Amino acid sequence: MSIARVLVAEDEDDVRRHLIRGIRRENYQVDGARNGDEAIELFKQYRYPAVLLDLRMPGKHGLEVLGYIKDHSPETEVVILSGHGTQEDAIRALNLHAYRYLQKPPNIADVTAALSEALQTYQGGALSAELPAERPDLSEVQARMQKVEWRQLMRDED
Amino acid sequence: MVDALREQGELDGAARYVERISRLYRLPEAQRERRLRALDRERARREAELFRVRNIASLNLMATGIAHELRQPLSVIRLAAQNAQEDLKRGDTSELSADLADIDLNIDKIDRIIRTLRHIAAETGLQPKPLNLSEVVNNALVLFRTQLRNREIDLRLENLDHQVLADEGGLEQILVVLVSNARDALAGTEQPYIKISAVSGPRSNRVSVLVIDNGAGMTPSTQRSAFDPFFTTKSGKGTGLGLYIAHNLARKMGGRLEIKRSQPGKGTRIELILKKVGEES
Repeated sequence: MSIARVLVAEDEDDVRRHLIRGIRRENYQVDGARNGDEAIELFKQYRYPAVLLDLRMPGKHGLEVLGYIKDHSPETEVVILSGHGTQEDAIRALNLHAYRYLQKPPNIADVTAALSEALQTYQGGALSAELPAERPDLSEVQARMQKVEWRQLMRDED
Repeated sequence: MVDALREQGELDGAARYVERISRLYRLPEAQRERRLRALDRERARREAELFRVRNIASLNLMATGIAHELRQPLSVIRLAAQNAQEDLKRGDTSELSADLADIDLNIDKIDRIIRTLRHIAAETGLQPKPLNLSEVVNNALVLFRTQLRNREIDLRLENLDHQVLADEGGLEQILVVLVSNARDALAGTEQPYIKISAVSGPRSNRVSVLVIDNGAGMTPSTQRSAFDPFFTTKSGKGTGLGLYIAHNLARKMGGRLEIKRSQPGKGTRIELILKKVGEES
């Protein structure tokens, strides 16, 4: 079986470097993008099965990148890693069919686990077969977020 | 009519109306005073409310900014520590030293943010006193003269001989922020210059200090956010707190800081308004 190739889009050099190193250790091939535009360019070339995506980046916002990816390759799974973590961003990301929403500072084990599950879903083709016609309601969104992350967001919004 | 104007927030208009009606109908002085006092109370209440709302908005913006700014270095610290642990489990120590350096460097970043925030909190102890503007500008420039010379930035100081009423440390800090921003904006500019000049009319109770550069300039959207906490265009090199602090310091000293003109590629002109000595109102 060939090694899966994933994309890490994150504008902070040191964060990106450490994420790439942690993911490579799990035997994935990893490319890095420094901003939204670079992420889209790389995506056009390689059509990654899974992408780890920061939201606030120079140039195109992560949500725009997510929209582009889902428009052109609905079966690609996108894990969001956000430092800003507003509830609104989380809901918008999940409405755009992000696979998982993680917050910074991340645990590398959570990141690799999310990517591994995302790749399994991609391979199983569960989402590619049929995307929900309606936007998911809040309870579905909550169910798709890690519970701990949701509680963290609620606290941040207070 | 008074009530209608009050409803619209036109308190000055309402006061003028009370004065006019009082004169026209020769209302007793006491009645006129009572109405004007009521309007003054209303004005004070509205200003207090506005101040409170602005403080909450600023605090929210600040809290969101702090959270975001701290999460970046915290992410590096956590990822470096976890990567090092995982490598150690595999007996690989090749990147250990670099990981520890990353952790150390990012603790410094967090410390820098905290120190800046403490500085903002300490701004309440400002002590305005008469100062010679030229001396304060020269003190603030001590940090920069060699740097500016090395970068071949022409420093032009003009008409700075004014007496202003300001807190010395506060004013120096504002100038340091403005000059360092101008210096950074001049990277890659041909024939770069920074000009600091001041003007004040004979009857004016203010001194206007202009800091002008011919550097990168700001887009309208950057200008709109320039005074927001944690807004920076210096990608990782700035805290995004310089102009926010400078703006607050100017306000607390009874002055103000404004971007008078800025255009991408054509430079920036920032105006700092200060109180003139002898004009303390």
